[in-house]
Amino acid sequence: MPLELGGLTMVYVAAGLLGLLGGLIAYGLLAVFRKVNGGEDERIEMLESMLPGVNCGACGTAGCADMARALAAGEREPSGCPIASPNTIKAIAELLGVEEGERKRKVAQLVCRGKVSAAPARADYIGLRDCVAANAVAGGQKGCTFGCLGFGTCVGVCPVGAIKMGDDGLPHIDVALCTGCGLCVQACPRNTLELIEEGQGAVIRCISQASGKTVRGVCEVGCIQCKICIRECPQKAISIKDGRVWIDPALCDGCGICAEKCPNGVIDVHLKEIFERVSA
Amino acid sequence: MKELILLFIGSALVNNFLLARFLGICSFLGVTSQLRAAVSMGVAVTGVMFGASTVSWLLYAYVLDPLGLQYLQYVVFILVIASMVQALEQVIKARMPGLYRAFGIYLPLITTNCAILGVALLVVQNEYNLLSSIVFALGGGAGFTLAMAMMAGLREEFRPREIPHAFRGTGIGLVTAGIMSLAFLAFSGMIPM
Repeated sequence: MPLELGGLTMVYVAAGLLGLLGGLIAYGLLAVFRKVNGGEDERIEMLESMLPGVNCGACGTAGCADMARALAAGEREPSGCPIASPNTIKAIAELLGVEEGERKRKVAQLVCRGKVSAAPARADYIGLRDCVAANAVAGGQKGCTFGCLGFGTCVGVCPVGAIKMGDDGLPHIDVALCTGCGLCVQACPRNTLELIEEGQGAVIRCISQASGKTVRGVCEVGCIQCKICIRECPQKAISIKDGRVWIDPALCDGCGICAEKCPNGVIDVHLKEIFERVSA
Repeated sequence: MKELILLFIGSALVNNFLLARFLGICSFLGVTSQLRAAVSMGVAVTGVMFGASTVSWLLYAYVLDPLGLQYLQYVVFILVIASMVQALEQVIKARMPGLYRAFGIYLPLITTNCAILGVALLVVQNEYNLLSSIVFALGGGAGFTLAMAMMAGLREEFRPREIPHAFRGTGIGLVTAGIMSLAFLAFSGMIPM
């Protein structure tokens, strides 16, 4: 038979019961924690507090906590974090007693030169001032369906404020600030941003897959796929990949012949200067 | 005996927690991208379901009901479930770090898996005895694991396919879940809830 408890007594019994239950469970949990937590690596927690903690994922792990675990397990080198400062990396290397490892700097670069004057709009877009939104409306306002739309979605996602929109309608990346985290690359609906690795010889600043005739009609500075560069490259590093001209960074030695021959000046071989500005 | 078998089949297939009662959908979409993680999640949920419903049943029958504190059942059951998940999390973290990472946030989220609270509340509501509650919980867990495994199998199958952009990820997952649920509706009414 259920007890008939009245008024305050019922409250006391309920509170006492919950308190007792909570205490018992807490004691039980403590026992479990003590039993299983013998061999936990306390360095992981220290590493996690040393890493930047922004969880950008640019290192290739799921986030800073995962990176800390990978560092402690020896799976990654301290320099694997692309955005930590040199001091942090040194401190991590000292804590773990390992080499810092060599870091290849990466910076984001725009692979489109279609400023408003060179690649005019085909329509007046009056919707949300956002590239993703504009791109969703019949492929954007730009005549070229591959080029940068210029509403600055990349500016908004950059965690370090390295990207500014220029008067020419294209984003300009301050390579001295860029950490190479790649968030802008993911955010761009047109894939007109790419991460360039230090040591890469050349980059084609156009990702158009359209025919030469079409490109001529919409852009003065686009790749018309004349294939001169493919023929002239002494390293045979240039080919057509996924419908566009592509330079294999593993083969390219940065000789610059392709840039000289390109009729539209689409190929950029001045990447060394970019990375000199990075380290400056 | 026959009743127990019917109860098991009832809670596993006919009134499947995921596909007929729509409880615990969060991990159904969250942890079904790999078959192994999905089945492990199913086993973990089954374990917590069994433990929590047994402890809940005992607490209800011998503490809450005699004291007339039935209204505390939600609080007490959640407390029991949360502590079990905490213990389970610690054990998995220490013994199976790979699995721990595959589960991610969905392991502590077992706490809020409504299928588990659902089992604990249903065994009280349906006035099952202890043996029936255990069978009911195990059946529910088996059905949960089955649905998780089926979903993960399907998602592994269509991952490499060309899916229209707008459907990728959760979109196609929800469509798949809906169609699976329709298939499970064929069982409905064979054994009453």
